[in-house]
Amino acid sequence: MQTTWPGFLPLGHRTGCKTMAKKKATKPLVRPGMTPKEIVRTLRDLDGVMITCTGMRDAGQSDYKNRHRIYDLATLAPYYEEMNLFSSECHGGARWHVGIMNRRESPFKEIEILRELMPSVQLQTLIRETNLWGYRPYPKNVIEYVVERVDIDVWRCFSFLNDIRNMRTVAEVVMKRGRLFQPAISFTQADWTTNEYYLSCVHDIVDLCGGVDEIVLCIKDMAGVGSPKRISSLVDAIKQAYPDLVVQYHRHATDGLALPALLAAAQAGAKVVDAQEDSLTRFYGQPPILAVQAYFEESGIKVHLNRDAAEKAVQKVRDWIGHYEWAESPFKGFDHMVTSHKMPGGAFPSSFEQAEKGGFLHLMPSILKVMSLYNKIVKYFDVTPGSQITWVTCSGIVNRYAKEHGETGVQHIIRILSKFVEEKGQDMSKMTKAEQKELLGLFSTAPGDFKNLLLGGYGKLPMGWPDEWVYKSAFGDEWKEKLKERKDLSPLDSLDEDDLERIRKELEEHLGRTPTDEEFVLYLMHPKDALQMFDFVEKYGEAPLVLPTNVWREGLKKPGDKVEFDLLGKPYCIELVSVGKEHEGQIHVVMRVNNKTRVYKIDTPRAKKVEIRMAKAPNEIGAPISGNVWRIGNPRRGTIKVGDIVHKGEEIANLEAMKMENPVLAPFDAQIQEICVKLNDSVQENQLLFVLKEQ
Amino acid sequence: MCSKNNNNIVPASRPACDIYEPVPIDTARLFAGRYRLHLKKIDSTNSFLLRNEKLLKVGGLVVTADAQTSGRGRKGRSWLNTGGQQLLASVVIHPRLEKGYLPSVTIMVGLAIYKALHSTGCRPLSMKWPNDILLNGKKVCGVLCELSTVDSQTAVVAGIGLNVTGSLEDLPNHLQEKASTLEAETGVVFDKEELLHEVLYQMEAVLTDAHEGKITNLYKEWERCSESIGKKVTFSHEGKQVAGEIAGLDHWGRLIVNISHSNLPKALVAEEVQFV
Repeated sequence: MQTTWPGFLPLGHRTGCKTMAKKKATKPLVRPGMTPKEIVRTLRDLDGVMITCTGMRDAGQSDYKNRHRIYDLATLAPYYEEMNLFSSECHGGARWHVGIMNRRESPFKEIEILRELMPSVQLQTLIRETNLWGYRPYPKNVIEYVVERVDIDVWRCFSFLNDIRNMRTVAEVVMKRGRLFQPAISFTQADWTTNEYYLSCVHDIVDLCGGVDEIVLCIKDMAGVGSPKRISSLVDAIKQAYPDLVVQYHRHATDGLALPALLAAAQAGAKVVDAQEDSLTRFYGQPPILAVQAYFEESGIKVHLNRDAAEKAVQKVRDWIGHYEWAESPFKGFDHMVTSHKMPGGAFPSSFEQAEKGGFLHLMPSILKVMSLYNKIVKYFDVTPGSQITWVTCSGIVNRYAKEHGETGVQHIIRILSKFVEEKGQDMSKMTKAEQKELLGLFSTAPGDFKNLLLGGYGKLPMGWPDEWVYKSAFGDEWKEKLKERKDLSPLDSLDEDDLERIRKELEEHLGRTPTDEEFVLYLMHPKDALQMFDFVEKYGEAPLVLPTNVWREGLKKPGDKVEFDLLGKPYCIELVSVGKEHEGQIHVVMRVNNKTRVYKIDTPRAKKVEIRMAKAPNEIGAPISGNVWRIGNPRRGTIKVGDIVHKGEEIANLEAMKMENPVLAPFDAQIQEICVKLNDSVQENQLLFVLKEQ
Repeated sequence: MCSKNNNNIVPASRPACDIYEPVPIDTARLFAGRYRLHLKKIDSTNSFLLRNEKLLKVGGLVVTADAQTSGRGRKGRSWLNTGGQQLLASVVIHPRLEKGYLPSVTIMVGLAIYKALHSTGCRPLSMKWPNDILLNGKKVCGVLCELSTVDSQTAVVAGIGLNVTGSLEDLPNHLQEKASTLEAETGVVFDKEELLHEVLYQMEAVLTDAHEGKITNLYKEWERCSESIGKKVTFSHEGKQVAGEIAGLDHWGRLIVNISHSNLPKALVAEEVQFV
């Protein structure tokens, strides 16, 4: 991890960069190294707007689960160097965590690579005030330690509660370092998010940052819900109150109205807008950059963007975007209903991925509906970590009802919630006794983060604390006690400092050596995933950075397939010659590495013959006959999943042999702990089908 | 025995209070056609039996219906109302066979229906494993057997759907080449009651043979009647399309297929075969 750049990218990337650099005539209007004052002055005097390109971060997060590898993104850097961008958002948000967890790329390495390839472009991150790039509030000393060590030019910082107090430490460190602090107000469209409300947030920001001369204010429309008129009115109100404040508008395209809303913001005085390569655009990221430029200029607003280089970047994306089709959301198309459920663009793919993996994709419409009602009961902004709290809480409620009562149960709770929120004005006394009881059970199994939120663990809620019944529901009999623990302080003032030396020792023990500062920062953010990544890097070295995406994902498939790459400045070629037959759990693979033939022995634990498990204990349900599992569940409640509650005598699967159907019944009331077969599996008599836990 | 829940289910010939009172037909029998219960309209005769445990205890009971509102076929598929008359019946069979032979009851039911139709003069008849009855190569009868256990008594509910009258035009286009009715293929309008009694008679005979240790003979008879030995088939196995040739039935009634380009024959339990 300490090895320094250059040397890790394939030749193509680097030569591309050098030729572009030679041709370059003008530097971008804003560059790394400029003071925040100079940047702000440049923008104020600008005739027109500049663009933050989100192609390297938010585009990937919103439509491709953050799976875009630096290997591919780096191919765009030479064009970015030419495009005259305000900044490249290439860092932060969930890209950090997914990099550690899935792509096995260090965010520090990414910065290093991009600095080399596009030295004149401001690198921008997205940071979640006290939650930094993680999902919980960190104490002040962790924030200081981390923010001081990340080499980023533009720091966009938002609070899901618009609790400006929480931005203090990040603002202090960034401004002290002479980097540009970009406070963001989280935007949504609701009856309570008025201009007055936002002006009070902006006022707090201006106070915190000592005026308007060293910051750029961002309006963060993370779900893509701001109508053109609404945005125009908001930007106008801010500009009237603070004429010298530079405003940037960040918006997702989810509702389908991104382009007119962006124009409305610019016409009202915004100086920077966010866009991404047209060829990266799907549904939930930012609007297409070339279209933005064309539309703005037709409307009389100059866009400072080198069109030629931008077109080349758009074209370059097409070289590799096909490798990421698998990562695109299963939920396709714009969704104007986002204006009620408010799921942020950045959370779309991951939520649908979870729903798909968890087998509850079919419940998504119900979950979105519950979300739209929930966000009228507990008011905050659906953006990290708030969006995760909303998602886990609401998907939990819907899944619980689905498990216990099936589809009808889900419809039942939606009916009660709708009545409570939409018809009865959230007046508990207007609900029947039975409905009251149901509502009081609503948050009984809510996640710890939700409870922490209610107790002020993240800061103050923007519209005050929710009604008492929410506390009764979440905390049961202890609710009054818990209410006394509720804090109005910012976590910055309420959290005890972490013992950094102790944590560093902990990491040292895991690694068996002194960790670098960067490794320590990664560990501070995501301890478990960082350790896994360190192990991975220990074993596979720079493979995540040098292998082409198809090989990274699928390997070499058939004899004759080969891959070429540069490692530590040296070219490599690996060709698959043959894969031997499996013998006692091992196979021999023959590879040609730089023209030398080598044989590798590979263990294949999964290739070993699978042992068939038989039902032995009373809670293990075996197949009544040899046959084919053609149904898991029953027609009344549909498919049964792990965690579902089943009742004595209820059919939980059906086997067919020679057109003879055999129901498998639950022998007692139970929860399904394990389902040991898949649909359409052929099973032997008494082969283990389910493991149950008696209720 | 009054039930208010089943408004739609009105027995044909008895007052509403007696709905679940089966009428004796031939109590000297052992397996099929000891008692009968006739319903005008029901969701499915199989479903009806499976939710009435008391009736499942009556071995040899046959439940018939004039109409089914949601008849079921294999693996949850629906059984189509052809528009014409159908013989819709479910028989409660209490087999006393070794457990491994239970699935082959479906083969025996199919064979019995074959023999019943044969005796009424329908030609040319054949069968597709395990128990589709084909007339002129088109399916005229489907069988769905379901297993249930009540108080440790195993009951096979054998549901029969036999297309008696109606012309091809009554069938959906996509089925006209695959399915048919007795009337459309023979020009004869058969009497449903007579067909029912013939089917029950043959079923009793076949099942009696099975219980007297003549299962192997029954398999031989099935192989001959089905005219399927040597026929080329395809089926899907673990997601792959496999081709082969039918060799016959094994000891348990499974279909043995000699797989093309392979030395190992395959015994089919739950696959669906298609004739090529």
